[in-house]
Amino acid sequence: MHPKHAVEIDYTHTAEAIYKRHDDRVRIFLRISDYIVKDASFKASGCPRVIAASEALCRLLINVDVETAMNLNEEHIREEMDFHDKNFECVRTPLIALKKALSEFAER
Amino acid sequence: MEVYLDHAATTKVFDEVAKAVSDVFTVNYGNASSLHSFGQIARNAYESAREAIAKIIAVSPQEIFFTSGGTESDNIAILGFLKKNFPDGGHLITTQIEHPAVLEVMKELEKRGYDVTYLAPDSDGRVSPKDFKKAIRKDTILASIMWVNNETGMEQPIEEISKIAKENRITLHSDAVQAVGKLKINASLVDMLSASGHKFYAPKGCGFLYVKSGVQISPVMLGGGHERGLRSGTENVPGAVGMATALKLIYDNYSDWRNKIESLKERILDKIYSIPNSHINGRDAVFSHVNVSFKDVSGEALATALDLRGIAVSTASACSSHHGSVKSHVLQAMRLDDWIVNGAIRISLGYDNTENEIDYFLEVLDEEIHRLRNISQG
Repeated sequence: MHPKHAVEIDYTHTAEAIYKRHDDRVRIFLRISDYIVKDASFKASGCPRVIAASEALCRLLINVDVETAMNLNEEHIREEMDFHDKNFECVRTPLIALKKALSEFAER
Repeated sequence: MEVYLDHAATTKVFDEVAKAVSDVFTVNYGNASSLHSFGQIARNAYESAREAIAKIIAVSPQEIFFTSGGTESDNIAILGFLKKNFPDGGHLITTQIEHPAVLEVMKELEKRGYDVTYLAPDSDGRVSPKDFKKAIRKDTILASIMWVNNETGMEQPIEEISKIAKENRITLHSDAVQAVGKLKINASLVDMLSASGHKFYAPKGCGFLYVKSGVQISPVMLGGGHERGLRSGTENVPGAVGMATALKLIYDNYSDWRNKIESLKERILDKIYSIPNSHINGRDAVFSHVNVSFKDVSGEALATALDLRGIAVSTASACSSHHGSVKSHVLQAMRLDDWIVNGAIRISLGYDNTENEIDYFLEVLDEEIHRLRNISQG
């Protein structure tokens, strides 16, 4: 509930995901250079788990290459959060925002 | 600092109540149905509690039946009345904003062949007597309309509804769990009324049902025939004594305590009005309740953030492990925007709250809304 990565950064890529059923909204910001995610941040409104999942995703993203970032999944986020209840759908929204932000790489 | 602002969920027992209940547990512990003197002392305490409660809600002691709480009272009132008088079906009227203790009973009755009309509230959470009148049919036999809504704190127009129900010879039940101990109510406006001890500084696991003289009900639980055959089960003397002690304390100090809480609520409302993009859910709620939403802040996130700083409020909309996203059926019935439904928190004040506590709460509320909005606004 006190995320370190909910800050402004000088980003190169960004995208937003909205999960209407829960009214969750997450925007991911990435600074990518030489196919490496140099920095990541987010803005999110939603339940505490959406905020925590967005924070966990940013921690996983920093200093990894784009391919690794594209392959991150819900399990990676749950592991990072140490939150293993699969019934909560909240962790998906930041991941969807990430995939959208990286879509130009996926198209190559 | 710890600040408890969830008195609509439950209250602590007053010290005087704890002492009175403790005496029953350890000194006057006889079974109120026993013939020996231990039992008779307990019986006297039990019947004195009944008399005290009856006096406070302006009814006769024979019309009060002790139960285990609000849910049981609601079930006995609705199911017991129908079992005795209309076992083969008929039309019932209730509201979309009832507590599940009534709504779930109504759903069950629909399965058994009864027709149920669920009245919609307006955007402030109040049902209309006109809608009630319109819903009445020739075969309408029972209505159950709550006195004060637990989420919004909105008082329902019981007086007008009572008049219409009487004109149309419809038996009227009211779930008054959030009204008893907060309002000075005239229970005889309705035919049956449910109350729960832990909502008014008495112990959990006790409550009562008022049944107007002449209204016939069958028991829904069978046993030793306690409570004049309506509610079997060994008499909960500590609970009854606790409820009577608590209600007496409240109504002996009512004006002073109510004024104090009203002024605390005013300060909370002043702060809320100064925060942009906030919405009060249910204007003119009872003096103890504030239900409010802040745009771009989820109610669950705000309640969690406040909890981390020692403040207890509640939210009716939250993610659930088994049900996905659970949204308040009350706020949805009021047809409010999604951000209002998802952003709502309920602040419910109690007679024990202090000015210092509210100062701390308002300072933290401001900071946490600002912080959560910073997290949310990209």
